[in-house]
Amino acid sequence: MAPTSIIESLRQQIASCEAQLRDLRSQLAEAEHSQKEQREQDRLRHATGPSSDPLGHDMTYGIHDDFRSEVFAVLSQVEDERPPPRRWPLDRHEYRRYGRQLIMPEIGLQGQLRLKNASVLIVGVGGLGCPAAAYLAGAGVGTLGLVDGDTVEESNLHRQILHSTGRVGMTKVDSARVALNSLNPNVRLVPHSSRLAPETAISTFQQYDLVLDCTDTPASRYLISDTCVLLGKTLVSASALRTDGQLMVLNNPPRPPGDTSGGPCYRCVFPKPPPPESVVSCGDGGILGPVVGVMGVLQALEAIKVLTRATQSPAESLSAPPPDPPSLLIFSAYSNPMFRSIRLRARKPKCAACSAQASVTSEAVSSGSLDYVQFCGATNPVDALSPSERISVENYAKVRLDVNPFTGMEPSKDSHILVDTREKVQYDLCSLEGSVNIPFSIVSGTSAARARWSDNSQTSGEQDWVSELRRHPDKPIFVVCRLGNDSQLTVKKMKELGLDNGGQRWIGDLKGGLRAWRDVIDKDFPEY
Amino acid sequence: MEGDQTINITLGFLGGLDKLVLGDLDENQMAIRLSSRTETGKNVNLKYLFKHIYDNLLVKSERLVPKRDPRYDENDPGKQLPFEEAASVLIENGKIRGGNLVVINEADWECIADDLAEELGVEVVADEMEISDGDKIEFVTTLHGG
Repeated sequence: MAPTSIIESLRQQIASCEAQLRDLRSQLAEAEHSQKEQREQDRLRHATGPSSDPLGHDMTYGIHDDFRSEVFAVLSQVEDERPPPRRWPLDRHEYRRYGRQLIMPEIGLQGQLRLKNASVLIVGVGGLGCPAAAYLAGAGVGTLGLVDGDTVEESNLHRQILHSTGRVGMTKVDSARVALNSLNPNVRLVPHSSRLAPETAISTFQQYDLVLDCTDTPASRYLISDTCVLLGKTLVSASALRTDGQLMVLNNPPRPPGDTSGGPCYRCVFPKPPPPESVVSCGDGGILGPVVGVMGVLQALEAIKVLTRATQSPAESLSAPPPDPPSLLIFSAYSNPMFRSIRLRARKPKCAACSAQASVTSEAVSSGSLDYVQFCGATNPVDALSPSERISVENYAKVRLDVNPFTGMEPSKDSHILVDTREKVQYDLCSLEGSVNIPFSIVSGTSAARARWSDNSQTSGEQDWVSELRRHPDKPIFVVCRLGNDSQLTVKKMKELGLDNGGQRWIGDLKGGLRAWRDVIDKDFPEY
Repeated sequence: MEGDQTINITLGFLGGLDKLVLGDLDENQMAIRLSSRTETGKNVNLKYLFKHIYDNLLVKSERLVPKRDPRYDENDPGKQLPFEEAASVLIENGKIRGGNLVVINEADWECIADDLAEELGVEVVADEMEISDGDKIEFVTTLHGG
């Protein structure tokens, strides 16, 4: 799309959002006005006794259907001390909209009213949060809070179904509001347009009944779980990567810390975070849209189950069926069967968050003294090489493209070897002409495999790629990868294997990898 | 002799560990045979299994990536080593690293330890639980994408 049309489309969207906002404000003002009048009328009617004529009911309102539904919506909130006498607990349009789920015994009228009175916080409006929010809005959950600090990118669109091509660049929260509002305008949407932080977590979560963890880092998962335990909220947690997904309903039932009858929290199941170098994001590892979609939809499903089972009074909670025993649902798109359920432990007696000896307190969370990022560890950018072992993409471009000013020699791709260490599937997407593909997985396994294979079998032969590179001992080797991390490790490994002939042959990597090549040298090189 | 008895167990690797551990092989599990007793004559437990996996099935590496060695041969005991590079994510100093679950016969091992503790009335350390013939022991790593 040409930039001008993007600008035009954004302008149109802003104008349409502003118009929508104006319209909502005027609707609100009218609804508030009608509500006042309505209460007045009700008071009068109470004085004269209830009308027994069913038609009289409709007549007394004397206002447009649309306003009436909003009035009902407002009046049905618990804040009203004296609910008006109503013929039906739901509005006419609600019977129509939710009819297909209303007739199911799992939901029924009571379930629908519970959904309508419920508020759910969705943390992360991405691959999980989008489908989860869509189904919860569709089901008529009264209030949905949306937390995300990111903006919509084109690479999000294959899975983040609330966002659209025209809304690339908009904040994810705003984009989701537009989509959810057009799906179901009866849902109150509460934007929280910044990344969840420990300082604000408790105040953000407080007003909600249930929380969905749709985030993508270990640090946020621990923060969300801790906050839910401290506030007594049930948590529906999911994650996905490549072809796999996982789902848990945590702190269910949400009893106070120390109460062993409560459900386990994230820390009970995973007391220690994973080593940071093993945490792979969807951007690096890849993700299949329907895989993360399935997990988000399952989160919505679990949320509906929790909310429709939830009870208002303690008396009711005694008779309510107990929640399912804690389990981890594992989805694996390329396994048979695709779904498996693993039985999980109960609350851990020494859990740092939900046991009687818990060290995680509200003060510790909100003061920032619990450093979640540090707890989970951060991976530093790879810095394995000295400056003399690295070349900028500008200088490499000269090696490739320029005539050598000293020798007058034409550049030749034969003058050096360019090794691309991305995995084959990525190499096949796009590559620099003349490069050879030696995937990092092959490189990193090499020395270890050599040692082992020479022990365990008679083959002591070298891997093909090593012997191939040895055949041209004079040619310098340039190593490139996607971002410039694996390339450094590959240079180190090549030197360990003695491919630099004791320093006689130059081996080095391209700083910033193919991303830098695209940004600086070749704008047409694909970005993925 | 009792010490010569062996047990057969199934190992599984889930949540992406299969790619990490078994490489691009289609299966995400493998059958192994273990001696039922340690050198000191005790029944083998999970700790023993982790050491066995670490020593024999995994190889450390600087980064964790899928790996398949074409010289793997499932019929040759000397070449039944398709495991690569998972050690640093799965096991460290004989312990299972954070972010991984051990699942024994479809249940979290902590869950089994809790049940056992309740049954016996003593504290049960999860990695000291003994392994029985036919057990299916799986390793699940947490995913974090969303």
